[in-house]
Amino acid sequence: MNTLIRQKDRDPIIQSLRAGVVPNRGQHLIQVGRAREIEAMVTDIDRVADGGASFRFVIGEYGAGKTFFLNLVRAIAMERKLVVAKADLNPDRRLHASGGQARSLYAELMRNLATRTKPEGGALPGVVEKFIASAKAESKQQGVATEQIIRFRLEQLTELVNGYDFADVIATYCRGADEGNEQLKSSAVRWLRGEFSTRTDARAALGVRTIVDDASIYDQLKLMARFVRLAGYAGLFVCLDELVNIYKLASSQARNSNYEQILRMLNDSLQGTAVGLGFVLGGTPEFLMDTRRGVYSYSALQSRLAENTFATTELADYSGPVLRLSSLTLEDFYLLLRKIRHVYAGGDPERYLLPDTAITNFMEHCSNRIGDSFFRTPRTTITSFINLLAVLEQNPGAEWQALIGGLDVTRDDGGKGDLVTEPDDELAAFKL
Amino acid sequence: MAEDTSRAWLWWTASGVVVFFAAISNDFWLTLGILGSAEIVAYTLIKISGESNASARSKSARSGHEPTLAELTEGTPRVRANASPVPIKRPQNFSGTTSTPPLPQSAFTERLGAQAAKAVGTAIAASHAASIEEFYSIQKSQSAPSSSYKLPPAPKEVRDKCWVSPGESVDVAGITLTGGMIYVGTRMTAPNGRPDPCLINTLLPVASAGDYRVPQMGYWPSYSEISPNERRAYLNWLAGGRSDTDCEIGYVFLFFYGLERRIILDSRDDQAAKRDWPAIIDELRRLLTIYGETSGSFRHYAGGLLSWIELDGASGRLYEKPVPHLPKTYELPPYLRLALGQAAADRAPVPAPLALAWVRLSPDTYFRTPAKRCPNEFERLFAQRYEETFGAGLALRETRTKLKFSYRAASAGLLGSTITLGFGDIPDVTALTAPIKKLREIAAQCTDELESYSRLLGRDPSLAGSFESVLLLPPAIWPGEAKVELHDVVSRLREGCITLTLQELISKLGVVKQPLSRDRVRNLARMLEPMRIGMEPNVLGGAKAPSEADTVVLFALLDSGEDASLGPEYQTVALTLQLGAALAQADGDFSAREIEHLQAKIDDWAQLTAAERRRLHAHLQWLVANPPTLSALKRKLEPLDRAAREAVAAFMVTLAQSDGYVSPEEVKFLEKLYKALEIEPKRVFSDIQAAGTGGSTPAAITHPAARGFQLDADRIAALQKDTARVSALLSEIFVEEAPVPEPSPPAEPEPSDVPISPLGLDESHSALVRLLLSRQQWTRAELEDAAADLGLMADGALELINEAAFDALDAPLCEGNDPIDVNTELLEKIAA
Repeated sequence: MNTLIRQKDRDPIIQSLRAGVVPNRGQHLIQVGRAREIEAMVTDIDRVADGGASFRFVIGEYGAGKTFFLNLVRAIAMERKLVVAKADLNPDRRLHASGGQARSLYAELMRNLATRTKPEGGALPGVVEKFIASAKAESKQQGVATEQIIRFRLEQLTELVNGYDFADVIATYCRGADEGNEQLKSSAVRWLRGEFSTRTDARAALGVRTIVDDASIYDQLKLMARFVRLAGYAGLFVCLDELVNIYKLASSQARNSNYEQILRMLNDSLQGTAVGLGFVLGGTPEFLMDTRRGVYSYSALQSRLAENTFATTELADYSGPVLRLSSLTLEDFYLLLRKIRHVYAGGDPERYLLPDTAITNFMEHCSNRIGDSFFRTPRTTITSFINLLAVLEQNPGAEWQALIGGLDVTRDDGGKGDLVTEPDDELAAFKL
Repeated sequence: MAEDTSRAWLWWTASGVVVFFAAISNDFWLTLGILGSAEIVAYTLIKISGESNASARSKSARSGHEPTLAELTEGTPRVRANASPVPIKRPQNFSGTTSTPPLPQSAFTERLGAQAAKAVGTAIAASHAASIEEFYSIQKSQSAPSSSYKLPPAPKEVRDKCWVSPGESVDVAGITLTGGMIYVGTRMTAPNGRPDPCLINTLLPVASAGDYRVPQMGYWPSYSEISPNERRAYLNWLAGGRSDTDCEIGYVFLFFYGLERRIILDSRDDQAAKRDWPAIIDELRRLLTIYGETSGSFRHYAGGLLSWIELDGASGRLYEKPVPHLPKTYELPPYLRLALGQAAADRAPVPAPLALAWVRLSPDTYFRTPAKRCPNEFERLFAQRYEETFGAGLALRETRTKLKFSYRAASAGLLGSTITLGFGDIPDVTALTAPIKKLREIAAQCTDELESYSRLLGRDPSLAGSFESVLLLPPAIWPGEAKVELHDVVSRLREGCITLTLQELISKLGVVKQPLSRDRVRNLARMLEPMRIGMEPNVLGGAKAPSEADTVVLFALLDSGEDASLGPEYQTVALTLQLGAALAQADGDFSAREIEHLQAKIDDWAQLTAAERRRLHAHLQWLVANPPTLSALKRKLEPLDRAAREAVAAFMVTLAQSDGYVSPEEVKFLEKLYKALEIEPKRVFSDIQAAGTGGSTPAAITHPAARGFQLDADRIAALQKDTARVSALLSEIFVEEAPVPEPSPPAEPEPSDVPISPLGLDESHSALVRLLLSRQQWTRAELEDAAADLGLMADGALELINEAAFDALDAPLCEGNDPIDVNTELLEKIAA
């Protein structure tokens, strides 16, 4: 805690927070509490790194810090040499669809594929090339053609769905690299990213018969998980956020097929059939528990969740597939602000711009302005706090007491959007 | 008129004699001749006295019309000169009226077929009439050796002929009298020398109509002296089976005189008469049941006569024998006194039935309704308490007063006679007051104990034997198996609540199956209460009464009895429990953890009294067996205010969490509940979430104002600890560079020809690293070219290099995509 924080670690955090978004990196610097939850996730990650599988729902309310938590988990996974794919679901990106929305989700995941060395995403070519490079090194050693090595190594993938074509595409990439054929390379990457929308195009570009389509994205992820392991990574960790979008789907059939997809993931992870693949899904309590539209409406999935629950003496259960994040409390928020102050000061207590009492005053001010539960949806208040710090930094003589009084804080109502759902389309206009 | 009568009488007698003479043998005539002359003398005597008697009333009779009712009732009252003091006085009406009666056609005369016989019989009776004034005392040797009695000698003559044995019938004045036990004849004298009042003299006129319901006779009626109407009334009553309750008691007495005579006089030395005793006893008892209630006088006399019978026939130790049924009279029945006296003399304990009879029949004991309404229960209870108080029985001390029994006759014919029985040295216990006082106390106590039972039966006699009545009885006299079972229940209650169906409970009380109405279930609960047994559902508190197959829970109430009223908090909490049960049941399984949680909650509710808490625990157990549905509870939720609703909702959410998993059914239930509570149903999820994470409880959400703006220092401390822990965990993962790991590579002086890479990379990658480090920034194109030159793929090479850099130095060598920044800071480290 007493170590200084580098400017390049500090700035992204401050900038993200000021913009009201979750920082992409450095989350650990402002993490408050949640030791057990994080421990649970670290266990998951380690299991994946050992070639196992994991599956978690991270359930929290708006403002509880799901995204922050997922980002932290993602960062941890990368630190543990996992390849991480993260995507938010939205109406155009789903786990299951027939109109390309699922493929779109896959493409997003692949675009955001990140490794420790490329934490901001776009690591797919690097991963592929790393694999090829090691194949090349081997080929050099053994005096065998690189493609042969690649084929040999990828042989175990061919048993999986699309596995044969996957090997083909990797080989094609290798060929493209060897030949300096950028077109070929990018086609291969496009295929891997699921960006081909028709088989004809893929065949024309790469000579493969299949593409990553809506139906095969999960299989493709499994394939990818094995592949990254072959490429020398510990495994693939997939973070999906905003699952409330499934809950918001109007068609119960669409919802159910999405839940079915989740069920597959859960089953594979519980049965250990997936290798080196971890999932963490972030959603709101409604998404999980709504008995008409949420996970609980899909009884097969619901019962799996129930079966894996063990009554523990504590109220919160960290071993089941559902990890609940509590909303922030006043005290959580207080510590968070202190951490932000610490980060803002670059980790140097000498440079703190505010005393502890000012933090309390600030919170009281927020409480007066936007109500008692301001700390439960901290996005806007954190922004205000950083603004305050910025003003103090730029005007060294300013009195914080005066500034706090004039600070403008707005209520964060973003959570309301989560609850807005269209009515079910079935029977909505049914009339006799 | 009198002359007419006597002339007609003479004529009949004469013709009767003639017929008789013709029919009977010569030997007999001689005797009869003598007797006949005596008869004439007797007749003259009777006629003279009869005329003087009748002269007072002859006038109205002579007017020759039937007496009107007014005339019959307004006669001058006449008090008998020889009336001895009597316990009660009745208005004594006497109206001496006669009319010209048809001659009595008695069965007796018809049977003989000759009036002569009649005349003879009467003459014989008359000849003895003068000799009955003498009194004497005899020692009653055969049956009770110690007793003696004094009696006037009974006229020995024709009584057997007059007596109609029990069961025989006889016709008088055209009326058939069945059942017997009356004296029918023409002549029979009482010890006082007058015609015995009980004798139905067939010669006397009987009117054609008479109403035995009209009180008109004198206090000591006599058949021979009452009016023909009254005779008719009497005969009617006799013919009607002697059982009409409306009958004027005088007629009953008239009949009673006969029984009395039979017992006291006839039986004295006639063993045949004693054979009639059983029938007479039965008859007396029967009459007592009919008339004993209304007439204390009759009760007294009949009781006295019964006692006489009992005493006369008594032998051995009476207190060892079962106590016969004795009517209550103005004094303690002599039988009892004898029995008690014997007990005292023998210094034997008084058995309970005898003691009870003593209290019951003591003239100054008044039993209140309970003892009368439920005699059997009273008896059992008395026996029990008696035994508790006195063990084997009360021991009486001997008194100096010795027992003596004098019979006060009812019949005017026996008036003036002193009829007494002596019993030697048997003490008279009525001289003792202490024992009876004690017994009376016991009786009073028993009466009190039976009070509620009696009241119940008073309200509804059909409840006798029902479980309510059993419950109201003092436990000491419960039916055997009920006693055992309830004892068992009570002892089990000490350990905890008992769940059983109502039917089981009822059968435990040893009561046969009976339909259970709501009121009766309520009664049951009410009656369990004094036994400190509470019942759930709380039917007394307005809960719906369970049916037989339903489960009830019994629990031990606190002794303090403060549970009579259950406060509004109780109602709220009970409702919460009910909701909780409904919720816990929502997932189809009322798990042990859920029950535990609810139980813990009950103990947590500080505003409850201990009694309420106890009841709630039982209520919970009942709810486990009968979980309610939400729809049934909706109505009850209505009166709750906002805060209470929030609290209920918060509680429910925590409960749903308590088994570690909120099932969809529970969620559904909660949504419904929120709707019912008029709380935004969407909040269910947030509240479950909050409860599930153990963070801020919903209660805290709903009442943040209560907390005000206050930071919880303890919580901060705990959080800081938690944060420190997570920081440690994270810092292991995100190792800061400060403590430079410095694997202190073998400090090779880095001769460029040595193909050992700074990061342990292969030759071409190492070359790329060196190349990269030569510049601060590279464009993508430049890098790709460089990589291509080295036979590498740019991305793959960077990935590999950075990986290695991370492993060795915890930082990537280069960052960015285009342009690519090289972390030249690492140069020194790599170089080092």
